[in-house]
Amino acid sequence: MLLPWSFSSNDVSVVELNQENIGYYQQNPCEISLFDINSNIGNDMVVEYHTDISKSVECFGKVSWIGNNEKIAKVYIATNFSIDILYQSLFWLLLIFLIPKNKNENYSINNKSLLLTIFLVYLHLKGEGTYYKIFSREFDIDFISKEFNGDFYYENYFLYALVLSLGLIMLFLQDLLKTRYFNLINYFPFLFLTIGSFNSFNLNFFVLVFALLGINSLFDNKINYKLYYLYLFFVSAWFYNLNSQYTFFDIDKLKGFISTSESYLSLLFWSLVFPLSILGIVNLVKNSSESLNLILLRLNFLISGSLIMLFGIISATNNISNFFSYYYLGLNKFGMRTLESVVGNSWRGITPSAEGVGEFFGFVILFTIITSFIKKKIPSKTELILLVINLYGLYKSNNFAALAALVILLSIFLIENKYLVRKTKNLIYLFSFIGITFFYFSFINIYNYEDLSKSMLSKAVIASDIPVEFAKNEVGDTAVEKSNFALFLQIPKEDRNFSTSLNFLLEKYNNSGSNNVPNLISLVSVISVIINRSEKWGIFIAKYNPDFGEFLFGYGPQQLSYYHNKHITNFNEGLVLPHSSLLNYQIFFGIIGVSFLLAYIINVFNKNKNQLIKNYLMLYLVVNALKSDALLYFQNLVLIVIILFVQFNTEKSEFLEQNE
Amino acid sequence: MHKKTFVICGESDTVPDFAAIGNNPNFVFQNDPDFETVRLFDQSGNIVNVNSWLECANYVNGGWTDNISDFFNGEMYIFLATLLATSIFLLYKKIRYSN
Repeated sequence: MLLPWSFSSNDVSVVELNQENIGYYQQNPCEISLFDINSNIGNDMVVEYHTDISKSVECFGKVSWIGNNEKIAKVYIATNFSIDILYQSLFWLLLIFLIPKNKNENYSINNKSLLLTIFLVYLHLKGEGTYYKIFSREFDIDFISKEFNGDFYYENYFLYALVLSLGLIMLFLQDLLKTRYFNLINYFPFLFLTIGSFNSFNLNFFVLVFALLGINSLFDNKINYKLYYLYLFFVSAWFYNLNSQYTFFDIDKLKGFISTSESYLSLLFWSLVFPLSILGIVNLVKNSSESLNLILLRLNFLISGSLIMLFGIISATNNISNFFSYYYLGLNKFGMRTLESVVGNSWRGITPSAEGVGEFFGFVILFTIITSFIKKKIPSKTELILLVINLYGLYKSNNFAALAALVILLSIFLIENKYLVRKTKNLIYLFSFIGITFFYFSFINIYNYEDLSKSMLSKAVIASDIPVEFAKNEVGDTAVEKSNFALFLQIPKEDRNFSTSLNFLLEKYNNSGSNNVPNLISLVSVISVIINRSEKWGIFIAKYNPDFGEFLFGYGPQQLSYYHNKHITNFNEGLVLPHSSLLNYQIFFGIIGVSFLLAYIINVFNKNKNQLIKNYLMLYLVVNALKSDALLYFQNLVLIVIILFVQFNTEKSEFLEQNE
Repeated sequence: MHKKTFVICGESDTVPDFAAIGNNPNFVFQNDPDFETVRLFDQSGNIVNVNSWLECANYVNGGWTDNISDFFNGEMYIFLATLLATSIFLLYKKIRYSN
């Protein structure tokens, strides 16, 4: 693991890195290794390590550049496409190797599945080539090309090495999964620690693993033709809607599970990989029902959460640990380099989002407590210590919504499992709801209902890039600040530069009669203020500019670039996300897709009324997903799909009988 | 070389005839004022500044480059190493299954 970062060139000597010597390192790129520079940092230097993915093979592991802004020296360590895919994959394969083998049967993955997965990756490289060419001068996806004089050129070793590396990785995977497949379900919590995003590629190793399993399941099982044709219809709609305009979308912390380019091949790749990976997860759940071990799963959630905290702390206090945790865990972005909380008093550690990791810690705690009750197995001393670490993680993430959801669900769980009559339980809920609502609106909320009801749309208007100059009043406010919706609606649509969704919602809101009578827009706006989402959802409304077909069917799985860049607003720079997985899926799958999804989830809730564990966990995940971008990260998608499909073999009646 | 030319010299619709250029000792490259000068190196460390796309393509075709790391084909070594590893693994699997 450490060797590639250790070799410096013999031609150049290592000098102390200080303000005076930065130029020396800039003039001698690709000569000095990471370890050598790390052991020669001057006392006054504050250093941050970053990766430079554009460098050649022989530069790997060495300093390629140092950027200096007087306070912090950003040291760029060279990595390489060809080495990264092999080196990182081998590490993650080693982690899979550590999973205990299946007790009884083995699982077979046929060679066709391996070849098809490699072909999928090739499709991805072809589709997102414009993005990769920005970073790699070697990037070339043609096996054979023609020279200017007509001769064939077949020395594209970049591609040959890539394809062969993928082949080797697939062969190793085939071998490992054969003997460990049925145990994977108990170890999936570690996906939250080892994210698996490649350093150079916009790919996630575990997405490929599950896509491989999904492809393999197509050979084993009958295809659900109804679902197949429905999905094919959606895919046709996405291709029809594709504009093929934006070939570079800065994916930032979404690396590995979001499309960078609007191209037909990229859309094809994500249209295939998304359902295949879900199919892989679903089949894993169905095939592993007998090997699912709740107590082992509980322990692994606790360990995973604790290691996330531990690595977060180590990563924040040590530069090289920060670099290695990013590289070897396959993080979406570098971990925090300080133990201090940032904006919103939250700390994300090694994860890309404090909110996201807070949801995870909340889930671990909920899962631990509920399974302990159901299985009547109190956590061991070790597990209790790990639980405390996870609680600390929840505290540091400062995710009040996750904490509130956790407390509320645990309270409901405890009330439901007390031997009380239904009427008493309902009275407890009613009085609690009235009490909390009264308390909130009396002591915490400072706005009246009208302000709350228009807050979200006001934020949407502020986020819009309106080309009209409005007159200011005596305090400098324009119609924008005063949320004068009626005035905006008088401006012709083509002059307003509002998104289609903002135009629609403004008209609906303005025509809804008395604004003191709750309508859906007002209700959502009030809720958005309470959960601190009115600005984010307002920005979504300002940016979401679909035509009718795009509104119905969306842009396709993991396609954010058109939504993000097409309509000009005040929030087109950087990565500005909707902060709601429901809204993300509206972008991807349209209102029809989202309706199907919601109907399915409600159906799952209904069918599993007696499943104590499942519904509480589902509710927690769904409620949190509604107000966060959780499902843009693959590990959260895995979690929610597993909880949706898994059958926990415990029932309400069984538990109550044990308590009588 | 074709693709490397576009990476180093930029895109162009011109299809150069290197044979004709090479066979003509009196051929003179015309400077292109719209072309940003590119500095190229050869393996011996010689440097040349080229001022047109055609001139740039001609030098690249002769093995010159704007990046010294191009002289070492690291990807080829990775390909060979991976080929070796794959062969060993396949052989190991075959022996394991035949046992």
